[in-house]
Amino acid sequence: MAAAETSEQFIARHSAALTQVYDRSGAAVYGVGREAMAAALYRGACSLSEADSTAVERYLASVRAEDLALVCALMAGEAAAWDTFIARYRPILYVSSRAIARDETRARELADSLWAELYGIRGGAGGARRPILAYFHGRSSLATWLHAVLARRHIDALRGERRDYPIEKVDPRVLAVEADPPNPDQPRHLALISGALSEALDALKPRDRLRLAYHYADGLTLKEIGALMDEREWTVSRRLKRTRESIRKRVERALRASGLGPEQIRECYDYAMEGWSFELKPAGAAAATSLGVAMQQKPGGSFKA
Amino acid sequence: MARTDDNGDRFGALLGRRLGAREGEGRDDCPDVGAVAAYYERSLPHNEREAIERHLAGCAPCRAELAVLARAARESAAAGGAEEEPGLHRWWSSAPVGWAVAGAIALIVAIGLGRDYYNQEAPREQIAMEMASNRPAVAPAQDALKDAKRAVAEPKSAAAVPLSAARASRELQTMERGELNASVRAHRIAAPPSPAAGAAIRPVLPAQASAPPPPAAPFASGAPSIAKSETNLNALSGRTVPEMAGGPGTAMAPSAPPPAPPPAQPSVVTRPLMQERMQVTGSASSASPGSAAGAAAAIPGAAIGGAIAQNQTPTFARPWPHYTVTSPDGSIRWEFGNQGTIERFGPTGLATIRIPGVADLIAGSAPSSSVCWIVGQGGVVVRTIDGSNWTKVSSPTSSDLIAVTAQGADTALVTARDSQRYLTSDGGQTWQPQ
Repeated sequence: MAAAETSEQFIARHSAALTQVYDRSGAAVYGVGREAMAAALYRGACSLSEADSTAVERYLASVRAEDLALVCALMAGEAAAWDTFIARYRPILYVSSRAIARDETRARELADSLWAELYGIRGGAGGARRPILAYFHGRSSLATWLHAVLARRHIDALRGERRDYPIEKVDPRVLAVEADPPNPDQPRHLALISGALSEALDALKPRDRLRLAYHYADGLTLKEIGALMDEREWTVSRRLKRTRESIRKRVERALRASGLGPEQIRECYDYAMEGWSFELKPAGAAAATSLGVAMQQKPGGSFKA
Repeated sequence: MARTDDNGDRFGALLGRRLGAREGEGRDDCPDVGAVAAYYERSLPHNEREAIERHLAGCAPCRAELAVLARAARESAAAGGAEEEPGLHRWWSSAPVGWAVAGAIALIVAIGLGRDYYNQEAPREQIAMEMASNRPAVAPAQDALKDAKRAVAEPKSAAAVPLSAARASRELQTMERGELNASVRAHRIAAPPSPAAGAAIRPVLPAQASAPPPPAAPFASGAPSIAKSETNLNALSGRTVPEMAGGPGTAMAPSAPPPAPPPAQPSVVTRPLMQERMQVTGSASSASPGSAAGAAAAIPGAAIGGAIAQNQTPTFARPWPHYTVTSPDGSIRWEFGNQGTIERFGPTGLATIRIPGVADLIAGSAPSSSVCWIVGQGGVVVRTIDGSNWTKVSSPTSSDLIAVTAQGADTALVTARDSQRYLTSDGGQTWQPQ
């Protein structure tokens, strides 16, 4: 969308597309007018990261019009829309909470808090706070959006808990290393391998780098990575291997270019293994651990909606 | 992963530390939830998708968020959620999905065959037989049904059978009502008597069934002459509970003898829960005043057979309708679901219809209090334009229809399970793919 475009300009520019979206949305069923739908679509267009008109046209062509119409009706307090929303999405919300949190108490808290917030706008309490449904722009289905909201809240809650991680619980070995006499070559070797590795990682395609992160940082299995990235397991395996070997060759080539021999390269790895543990801040380390647990929790417990 | 040497092992561990250590403290630069959801659904354009993947590679919380989002969507879909799991376009690479598709195709074929079978204007007694076969074995009731069927099928020899033709036809109606509305009556029986509402809603009770039959008219004029029609499903299988008799949706010929008005009876219809399963257990014995009669009324066939013991606990497998659509003004509500059953709740009470040959109904849309479109499995589309009488309209597809948005009696947009949409602007006579 062109920068500083007003809603009137937006409506004038995309009037045909807006009419099509309105017609296929079924908004009239809920009594949602064209103006309300246009306003919602304008908000959605403003939220796009790309600012060109092509992105807006693509958004209007692919928007989940029916879900957006339902959300508009919900925000307007239409009773029929609330009946539909409760019947269709409340069960999804609870199943999703349980799948995310795994713990019954936490799952119920997660679902109830979101449900209360969603339901809270029904009463029209007003206030300066923007209702959460106003952030739904129809770029995905409403169900997936609800899953994503729950997931973000759950992860943020985990991180919030771990920020309060007491320093006494940090592994004493990490603190003890500070007292060891430093190797005179260690800082240089660390700087070399750190720079070489950063350069190699930055040169990767985002998708290759994401695959590496899933595997080496998060510990996901090939199957899990394949599900997230829409790839087959053997494709994930092959690309991981290829990417890793490419990085390694690039790093070692850079180290050799800096005058290091095979033994010194091996020492670089050792120093990095030891030294980079300091880069993991206690809170970050704890948070990373908890996130890893969150990602790999297995089903268990019982939860009743 | 292949581990070629010692350095290789350490390099993998090093990558893990390096990538894991890049977690940011704040999340101000994280993509918004809508973008993450759209990324998960693979609906983002390439450049935006790449930008999010670039961010994900360096943001552990966002990766964790996406992982739990995927888990939630997967389990929600497995539990019957409406959303689809992305990546299904590669369904052939997964054996379970392949088997599921094969099963679905077989099911569609079976449903199609079933539709052809049922579309042959099944006679009324056949419908009654089908429903009777779904209920618990009640031998006396079945015998009575056979007698009734024989009486209807052989009108000329009506005098030779114990039941008069008029009584036989009335019992057929009663059995069908009993089967279709058993759960509603169970609610009524459990509810306290409300004489004030008695005039509006009258349950079927054995007292009514066992009351002296009205003067038997000649079968040719007194038996229910079923007004069959190519399109009017109410004429084919429409049934209403007595409170609706004579009103919209009534399929009986006017010459049929009206049921004897019952005495003041429990008449408050307790609204069934949406997901309620029809489990009539104990309600018979817990029925209040007029409990014996009420208990029998809750059991299909009991009105005829009258041989079910009070302590018997029948269980019906027919599930209760699952979905609800309400008219914009809130005056009319239709509940529908399995086995083509539609129930209409309105100011005048409750009316129930079961559309033969229709499997599960999945979604509905009511642009007004008199117009409602409902779609379901096998591409079925039914519509009412007067709020009561349902017409089966032509279907644009044989796939399951999972959503409908109607804007009036003539205009509706339906969505198939394969995401294909069809629009009609002439009441379902023609459909245009969207």
